[in-house]
Amino acid sequence: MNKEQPLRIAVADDEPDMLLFFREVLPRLGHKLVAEAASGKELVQRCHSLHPDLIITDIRMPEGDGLQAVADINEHMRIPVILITAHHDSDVLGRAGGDYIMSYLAKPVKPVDLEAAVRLAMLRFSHFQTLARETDDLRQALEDRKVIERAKGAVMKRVGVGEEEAFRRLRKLASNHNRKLADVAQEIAGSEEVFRLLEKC
Amino acid sequence: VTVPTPEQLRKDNEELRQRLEEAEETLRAIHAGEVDAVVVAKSGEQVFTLESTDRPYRLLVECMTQGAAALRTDGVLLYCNRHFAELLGRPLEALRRQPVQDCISPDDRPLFEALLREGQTRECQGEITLVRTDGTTVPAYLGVNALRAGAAGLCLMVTDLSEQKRHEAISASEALTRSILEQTVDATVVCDSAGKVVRASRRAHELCGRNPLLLPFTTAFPIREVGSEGEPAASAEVLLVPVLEGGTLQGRDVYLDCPASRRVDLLLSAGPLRGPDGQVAGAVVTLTDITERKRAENALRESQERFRTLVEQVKDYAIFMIDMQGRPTTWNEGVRRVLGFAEDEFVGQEIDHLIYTPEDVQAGVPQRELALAAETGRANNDRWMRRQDGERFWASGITTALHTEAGEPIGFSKVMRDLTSRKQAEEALHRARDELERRVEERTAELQVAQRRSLQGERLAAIGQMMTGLAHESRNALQRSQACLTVLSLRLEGRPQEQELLARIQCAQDDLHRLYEEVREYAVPRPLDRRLCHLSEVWREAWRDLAPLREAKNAELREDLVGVDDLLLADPFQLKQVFRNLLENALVAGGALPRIEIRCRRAELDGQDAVRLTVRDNGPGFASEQMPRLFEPFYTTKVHGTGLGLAICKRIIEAHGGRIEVGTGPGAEIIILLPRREA
Repeated sequence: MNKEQPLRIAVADDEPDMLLFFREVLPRLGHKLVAEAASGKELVQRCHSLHPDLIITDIRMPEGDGLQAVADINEHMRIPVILITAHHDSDVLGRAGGDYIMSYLAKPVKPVDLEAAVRLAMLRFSHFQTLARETDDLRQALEDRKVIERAKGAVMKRVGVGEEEAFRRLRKLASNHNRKLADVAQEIAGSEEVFRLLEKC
Repeated sequence: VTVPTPEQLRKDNEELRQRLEEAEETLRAIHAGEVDAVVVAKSGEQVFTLESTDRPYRLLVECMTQGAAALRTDGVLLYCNRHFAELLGRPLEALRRQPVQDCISPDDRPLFEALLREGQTRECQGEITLVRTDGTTVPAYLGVNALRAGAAGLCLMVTDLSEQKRHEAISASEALTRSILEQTVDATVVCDSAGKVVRASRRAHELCGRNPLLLPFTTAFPIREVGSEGEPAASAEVLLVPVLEGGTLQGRDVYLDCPASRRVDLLLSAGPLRGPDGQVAGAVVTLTDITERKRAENALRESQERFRTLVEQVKDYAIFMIDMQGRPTTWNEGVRRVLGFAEDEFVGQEIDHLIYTPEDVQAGVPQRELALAAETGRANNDRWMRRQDGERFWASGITTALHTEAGEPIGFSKVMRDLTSRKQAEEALHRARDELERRVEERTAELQVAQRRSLQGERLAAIGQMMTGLAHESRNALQRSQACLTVLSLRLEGRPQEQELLARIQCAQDDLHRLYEEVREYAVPRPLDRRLCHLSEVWREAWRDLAPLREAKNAELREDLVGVDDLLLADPFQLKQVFRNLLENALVAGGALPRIEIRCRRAELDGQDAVRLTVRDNGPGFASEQMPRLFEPFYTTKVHGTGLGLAICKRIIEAHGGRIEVGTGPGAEIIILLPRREA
């Protein structure tokens, strides 16, 4: 079964037989069923409190269908989803949308299908997460760069040195104080803002 | 000198004795004063007149215009005057001493005898008829009385009544003639021998315009004979001459030649007028006014002439008559135009072989046509006929039976014209109409097929809708069943007998699931997603997908597409399903060692560039009764089959605009034609 970290999984289906199926099969696949929901609404509530690693949900359910529920959940957190559907028609799949839906399972679902779908979903989510992290890093780097440039400008103006010399002194300052260049730059940029306000008074 | 015979002598004696008696009688008469003169007729006539005192009386008697005679009472004539002798038509000498009875017609003799008897006592009269020696008769009035007292003799006075009788007859005849003349409608003219008009009927007066009497006939009636063309016309003078010489004229055409008034046409008949003596005394001329008849005749003749000219000049219609023997008797310009015959080639020939086609002659058409015309009065002759040059034409016309006024058949008239071009146009029209009808029928049949197809389509759409719902619900049910089955299987781990049962349930459920899927697939086809693809790649992928099924069987797929471009625009995923179905069938049919062949060829479909695929296996092939039903949904020859595989194939191929059909094998052979549809 799953040799890796066991997954904490939440399932939603209005059929008790299906909940039974997941209850019996998921542990065999090495996972932990942390929440069972019989409606969309219930699924949303449980996920907010439990924050599972994976959601497996039926589409058609009373009190908010599965698609709406996972859309709500993913506004606040990022949890991968596997949809179980009696439809594999393109219009339903098209409507499904959402970059958090990682896989589909067409009824009737057999354990082997479920295992493959879980693996695929987690793999894709992992890729997705990696990409998201990279994106965050890049965005931060870009933001830092902007601040550093601003601080560099302030140093050039106040100390009266060239651009290269200003950057060298900033790095030396951060290094001497064992701080991040971006943090130092932020402080300088902030100070510069204060001075500008004072000059205007 | 001849010696007289006794006979001659006896005759001489008798003659002498008679002369003696005559002499004695004469002497006695002279003595008795009965003789006025003695005529001696011996050598030249010598008259000796005896002068006596009663001579003046004798002269008076001689001068009387009446006949006078003295008779003996037995009727023998004693004396008569000259007029009496003239009345009787005999010489005086022949009468004397002869009985007068000889000169009376036998019928009147009894009357005469009676007069002789009565006359002796009193004067009496009577009419008798005298018979002359030439046989003619003279009506006469007799007066009889006694001569004088004591003398045995009678005085006979004879008056000639013939003049009087003639006058009575003439006036009666005159009245009759006048009446006839007045009543006759014709103009009747009587001319004397000099040619002068002496009688004229009322109509003759009118015709003359003035009083014609005593005018020369030629002046009163200036007529001229209607001569034949070119000949000089005879005038009235010339006409009358032979009549006045005793000839007759019968019904001669003449006309009144008076420039002042209108021309009057007359019919002249004339005959001589003979007097009682048989001599020609003149002429009787009858003139009948035939102007009206003549005008009518002329009008008729002109009309006929005009009609004949018209008929002769008609060019578009052949108009001619044929006699009872079927020979043309007339010809017109139309015969030349329509039938191509000159007049001398046509008139008098056998019509049958002239203008009818040999087939019609063989079939007796000409006779039937004439028989029909004779029976009903007319017969159509619309048919193909033959021209002089042998060319055929479509004749349209009428054959009409001709009769005399008395109703005797005398032949037929035929009118025909050439309607070949119209006939050809009609036939072209017929052909066009037939063609149109045929196409309408074809189109109708196509429409019916389309309608059936559309109906089938509607039915399938309804089934599809139903199947969609059914499949969805079934899937939910299958899911629950699958869930329980799975849980049960987990709970029964380590119990092989129960696991075996569960596996069979699982298998049944999988079959059910597949059935639903196929039905849904067939009933709710997905729209085509066309893209350029190589057919060989598509079937190879299908072949790969079937690996689990064929591995156990050591199946082989042979491809034959040397030099064929298999690139086309199609939905590869749906085509893959077609190949999967076909190959799966072939694998099942092929037994332990399936050999499957796919042949790809370039082809044409409805004039478009296409690809022909033949998929054939080494199985038993299809039975002939299976072939027509192979593509029907739910028809299957397999034990575990939904019967939808080939139906789905057909549906997908036809959605591509292609065709799928069964080949003749050997083995099961499916032939697919797909249009290439390359851009």
